[in-house]
Amino acid sequence: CKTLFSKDEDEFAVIQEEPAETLYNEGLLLANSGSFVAAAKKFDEVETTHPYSEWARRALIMSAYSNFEARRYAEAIRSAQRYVTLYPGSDDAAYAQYLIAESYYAQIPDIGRDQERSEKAAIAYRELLEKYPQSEYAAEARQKLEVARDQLAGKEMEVGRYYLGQGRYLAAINRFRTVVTDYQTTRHVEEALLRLTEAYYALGLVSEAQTAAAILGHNYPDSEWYKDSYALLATGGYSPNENKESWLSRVWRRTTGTL
Amino acid sequence: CNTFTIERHHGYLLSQDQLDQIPVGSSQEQVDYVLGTPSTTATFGNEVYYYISQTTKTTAFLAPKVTEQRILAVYFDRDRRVERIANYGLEDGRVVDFISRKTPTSGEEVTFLRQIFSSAVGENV
Amino acid sequence: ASSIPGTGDLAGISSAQAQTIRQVQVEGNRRVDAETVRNYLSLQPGQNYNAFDADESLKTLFATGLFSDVNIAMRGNTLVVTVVENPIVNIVSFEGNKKLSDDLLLSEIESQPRSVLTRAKIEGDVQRILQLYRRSGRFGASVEPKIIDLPDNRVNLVFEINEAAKTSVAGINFIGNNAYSDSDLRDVIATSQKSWLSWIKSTDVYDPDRLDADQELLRRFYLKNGYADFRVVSAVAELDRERNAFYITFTVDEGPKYKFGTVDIEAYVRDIDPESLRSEIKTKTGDTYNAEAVERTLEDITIALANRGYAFAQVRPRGDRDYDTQTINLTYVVEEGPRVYIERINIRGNTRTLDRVIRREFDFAEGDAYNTVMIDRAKRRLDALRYFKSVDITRQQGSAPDRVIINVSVVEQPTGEVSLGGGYSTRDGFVADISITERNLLGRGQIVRIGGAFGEKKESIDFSFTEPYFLGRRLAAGVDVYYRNIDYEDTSSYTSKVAGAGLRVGFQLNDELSFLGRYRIYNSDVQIGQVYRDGCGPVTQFAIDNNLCGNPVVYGGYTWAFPYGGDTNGDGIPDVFAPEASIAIVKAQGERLYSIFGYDLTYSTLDSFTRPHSGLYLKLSQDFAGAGGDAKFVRTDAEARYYHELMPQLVGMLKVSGGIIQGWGGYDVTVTDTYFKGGETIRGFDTSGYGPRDLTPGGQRDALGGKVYAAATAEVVFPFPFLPEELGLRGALFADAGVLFDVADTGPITIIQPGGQTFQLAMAECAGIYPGGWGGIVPAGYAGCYVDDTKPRASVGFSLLWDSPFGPLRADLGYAVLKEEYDDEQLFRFGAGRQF
Repeated sequence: CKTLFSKDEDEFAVIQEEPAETLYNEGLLLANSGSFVAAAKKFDEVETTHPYSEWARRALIMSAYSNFEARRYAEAIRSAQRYVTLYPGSDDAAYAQYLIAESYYAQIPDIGRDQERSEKAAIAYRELLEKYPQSEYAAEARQKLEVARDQLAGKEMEVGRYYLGQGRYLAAINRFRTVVTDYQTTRHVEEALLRLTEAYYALGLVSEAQTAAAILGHNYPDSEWYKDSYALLATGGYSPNENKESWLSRVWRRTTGTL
Repeated sequence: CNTFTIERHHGYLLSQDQLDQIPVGSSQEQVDYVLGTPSTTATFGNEVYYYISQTTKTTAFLAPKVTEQRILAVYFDRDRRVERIANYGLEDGRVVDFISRKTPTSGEEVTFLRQIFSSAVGENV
Repeated sequence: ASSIPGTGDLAGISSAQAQTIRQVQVEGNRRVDAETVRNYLSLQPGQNYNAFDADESLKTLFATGLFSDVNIAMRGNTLVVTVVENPIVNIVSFEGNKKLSDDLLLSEIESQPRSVLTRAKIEGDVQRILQLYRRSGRFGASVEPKIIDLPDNRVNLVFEINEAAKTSVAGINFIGNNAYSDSDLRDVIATSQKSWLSWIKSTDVYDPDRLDADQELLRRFYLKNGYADFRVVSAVAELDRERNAFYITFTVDEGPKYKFGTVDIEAYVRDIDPESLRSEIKTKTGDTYNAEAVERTLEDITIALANRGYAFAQVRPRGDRDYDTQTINLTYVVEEGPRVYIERINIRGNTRTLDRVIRREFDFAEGDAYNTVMIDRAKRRLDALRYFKSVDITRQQGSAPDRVIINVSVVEQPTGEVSLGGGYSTRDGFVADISITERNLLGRGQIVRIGGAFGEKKESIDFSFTEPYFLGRRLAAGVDVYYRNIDYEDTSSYTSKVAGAGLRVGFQLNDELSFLGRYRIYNSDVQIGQVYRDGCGPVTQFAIDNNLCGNPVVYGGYTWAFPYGGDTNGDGIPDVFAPEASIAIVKAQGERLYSIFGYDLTYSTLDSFTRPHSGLYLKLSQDFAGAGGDAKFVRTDAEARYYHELMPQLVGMLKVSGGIIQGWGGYDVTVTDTYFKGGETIRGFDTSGYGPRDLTPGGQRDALGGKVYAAATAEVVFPFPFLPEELGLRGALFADAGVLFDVADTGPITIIQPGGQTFQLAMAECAGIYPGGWGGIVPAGYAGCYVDDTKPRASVGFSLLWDSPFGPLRADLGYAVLKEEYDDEQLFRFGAGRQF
């Protein structure tokens, strides 16, 4: 019967050793000249042939970088994740974590679609901020974390607006509530307060509508949305005044510590 | 075959005998037990429970018409006992034309070419 | 031996007193540096050693998947962590795989080159490979993983695969079945016997999962046909070693065949009157017991209750068997279910389809009552969109006991289709067509289609766009733009070019009834062949003879000629007027603008649209031309089809159809706008083979169409009993009949000579018909004659239908039994179309 090694003899011989450094430099050359896919392959080769050398570590992060530049986000994430697991303490670990977050961030779809990648990007940036707070990427991570959270809030708003349009005020109110309670630092909170005014008003719960409009006015006095809510209430001869006991003001005071 | 008008009930399904079991003064646990979790609570610290229900009639392709809208508001006092109960009906509702403006958001819009390309290639590029 | 990672080898922790750790020593690491290991420890220098933290560290270290073994112990006041690293995979390769490629296998398994090797991963990979082979029918395959050690703690991973031959199913037989024959039951189940066709089939291979599915198929089949006590006693597959094939034996206990006894309904929910729900019941006393009808009844009652605000009501059937009368008395019991509301509907996996396109298929919103039947209906609607490979709706406990969260996760599939088609039919000759369809444009649920067809007799290009949720309601609105150039030369001596656009709006009144309103505006240009030709000498007046210019007229022009005096080809010989078409067709010549409002009302209870077995299909269409445009007529069409499964796989069909077109406001309908009927309605006749026809001697015998038609068909389709069902061969016996009459505008036409003189040419009904029907007797003073009678035509015949690998083929052999001598017959018709 067939011996184990008969078929393709050379495949099992260890690939004839090329020094790690030359392979690594070839990879660098390819990367600099912009052919990232080839560069990634070359860096992978370094890691395969010299797994224990220092070059292997550098090649791994470079492979992640090349895949990222070549928009092959799945491979970039896999390599960067391996780097963070293997070398959590090294100085490039922050960059690897950054690459993971950036790979998800680059694939964030518009709010009409599944925001799974926004969630993953947010988680990755948060991990970057927790594990490597002093890293040079911290500032950008904080900013992009907000953008990812803004997308998640945008999704809640999109579904809320859909239900509002269908006349399902209860479903709409609960969606806009989520934005006010969970995504208060995003830009959508202003519109959420206006939509709450509209929904409560449509239901006839005028006191709740007035409270929502009052908070909007108090915190974002020159916002377009406040003008709209003011105008809406005016149609019924009402004006925004905050019922201190309403859930909204309590939530607001608790989370923003203002007022 | 059924007629061309479909009636649908949305939100909380309230029945009269439930209402009689929560007279003024009954505890919040009693309300939770009898009416169940409110559709949306108007208090963070549970000041007011709202039970919202809506009935719509849709005839063929015409827009669904809200034929009945009832909001049961249960107000609680300091120590969470039922203070008063209010009922809002369809007549309290206001006609609102909602602002069409949206807060701008980013994210890659699926362009036509990308869709054709990805559907031809079979995976999402 | 190394322990199984992930389970945490607690024995590794030796008991030590509470000592403070001065420093941490890592041993046995090669690739992973000590700093990394220290990073994962929850015991740091300065801390007291304790079993809990040690255990935690063990767990985190194992979780990284980097180590096959970890050992934590105190040596003096040094914490010693000894690790054995998992080897790194250098190369993954496969031996002995012929049917499945290396790349396919590599993409399926977890162990990848350069990744860390763990025993758990290898075991998982072996199972994955076996699963792949089982699905492709190689149930006997075996996989042996081999690890070849290399220096520097690296390994090569080899999967040795023995694919074994396909274990096919040599025979399937049934014991205990007397109501249905073995072959009937073989058609019911999915697994099939090895036959000469098995090179293109995969279902004749033994697969235990499919065997379980077969038992369910058998159960459903029997329960649908009255055998309420049906049981599959056993399903045994014996392997015949030599022939490497399985023999499958199903032992069944059919039990008696039941009919429905009394059927009533009880409601234990306050103020629900059971009798009001009786209209929803599909199971009638005396009918054969049918489990599916019971299920459908349950669903209909639940929906009816939900619509009346009793969303929490649950319905369950209770059957009491009456053995001597072999009937089941059925009671539908309506009870109050738990009052649970939907807190949130999460939609996941839609990377292209918009959230609202999915959410709008749910009739309920967040905050509404939770009702499983409504969720099943939403799932059916989502599947029907054909945007998704799979739609899974799961429920998850909400933030309160009476709250539930619905998670909808979809896996999208490409919704763009490019389809090329080719076909031949005796009517249109060769036709090629191409179409590009995108059913989910930009994820917005809109449908756009661009198509073109090119053939001997037809060229057409059309574009259509549809928004199924116009104005946010279930209102399908669409726009169509089209151009068609059709050559009717053979049958009515004219070609017609139509270019136009249309708007349409459709909605579903209820499950069976749908309405479609449409508006179309198009320009139609009817052209006929040559009209003037060289005369030869002084034909001074209107002549009806066979002797134009002294020689018998054979060129197919009309025998009469008319001095025209013009000279179209400038050869000096004055022309005569001798058109190559009937006067009625000449009258219809020219361009006309049509502006038509119309509607279709369709009622359908067919069980499937492409191949119906049962159900009724009614359609009423009306078109009102005249709001602008040149044509003013009202056209009404009606069609009724009834399908009934006489015996399993034997489907009978009755069809009746009719139509009438009437001009209004003094407008006389032009011939080309009327109905042209032939072989497509009564098989055995040629295209436009019967109905009013121009029989002017020597003329083209042009079919002139009729303003009124009626037709009826009876047909039975049956599979060939002794041929295997997979061949896809079916036969059909049919009888067609019909009538077409009341010819439209047959002139007269006015000829204006260049000199200004005008003449009129008119047609009348032929006074008589020459034997053989080649021509008619033209009454005096007329230029031509036509026949128009209300005598019915009929035919009987046989058809062959074949779902061949090259596409559906249909051949009809029709013999006209009731016909007129001037009709055109065609015994054999053939049509094949292929979308690939």
